[in-house]
Amino acid sequence: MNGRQSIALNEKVYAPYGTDWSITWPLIFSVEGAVVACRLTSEKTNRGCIGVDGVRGEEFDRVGPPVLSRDGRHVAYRAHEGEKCFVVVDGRRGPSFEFMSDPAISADGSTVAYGASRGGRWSLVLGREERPIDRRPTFVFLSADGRSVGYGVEEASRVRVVVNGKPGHPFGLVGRPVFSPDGSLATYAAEDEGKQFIVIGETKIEVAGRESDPVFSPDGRQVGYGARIGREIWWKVLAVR
Amino acid sequence: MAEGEGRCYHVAMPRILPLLLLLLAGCAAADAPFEERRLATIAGDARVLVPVTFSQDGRRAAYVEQRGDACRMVSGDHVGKPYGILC
Repeated sequence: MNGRQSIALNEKVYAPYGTDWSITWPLIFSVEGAVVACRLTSEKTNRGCIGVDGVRGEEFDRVGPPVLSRDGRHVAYRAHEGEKCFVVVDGRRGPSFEFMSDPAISADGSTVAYGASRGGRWSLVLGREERPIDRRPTFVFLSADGRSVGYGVEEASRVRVVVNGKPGHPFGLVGRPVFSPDGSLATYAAEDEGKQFIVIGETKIEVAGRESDPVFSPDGRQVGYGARIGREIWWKVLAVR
Repeated sequence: MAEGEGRCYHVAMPRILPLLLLLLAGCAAADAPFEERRLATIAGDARVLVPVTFSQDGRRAAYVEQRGDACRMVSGDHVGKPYGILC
């Protein structure tokens, strides 16, 4: 729009960060959709920062995509300055590392988890605790209460999801895992050798036409996912056993 | 792993998907049963451009369809403005 980068929400267009800052997609929404966050890059300095509802945060050499708590009041992201990287939670810097994954945040924003490497050794950082792990985690996910944590690791071109320390089946691809409401199980989509699966806990179920990542029902007794079968769009449901 | 994300397909999300998710965020009904259901049938002359997005309660789906030269977002009875390009 006149060379300016804009955001269109529900047919309404606005440009909250001005012409000096370019928005890196995707936009990140809080669960209720009330708060919008994104990565910004300065057209003048090429440095980055996080914008939340039109307000820019501190500038760094680079920043990763932000994560928001359920109500959008808490934000966490990976930031880089020189050779070091660290997590930034509500504007406060965490400890420095050489490498790190993007963080995950609990529903209330009180717990942040991420994978990080210092001196060639990887750790899973959960709050203030650093748990040694033997491989680089490609992503980290948390339960709503922040007590259960999982991560993905690559092994010989395959991906394995580790839930509360227990490794799952290896797959060619995996989607975005989520924990059940009580944090006892995780579910995620996976693909391997042309077949699609939904994994619930330690059980993998072959499915067809899956288009979305699975989610737990509010009571945790079922898992639902979106599917496209021919020209029909379906919501499919699986029982949790 | 500054920017690497491994072999996980959720990182390659089309730009429009977060907006579709926002649209669907206000559609959840607290007392809605969590059950299997057919949500939509894609018109015979329409082409769906990006993966279909679903509300967390499974009651709504949203997608971008192309008909002729126009692209528009569709979710239930709601049909968005036509655009030349949606990304």
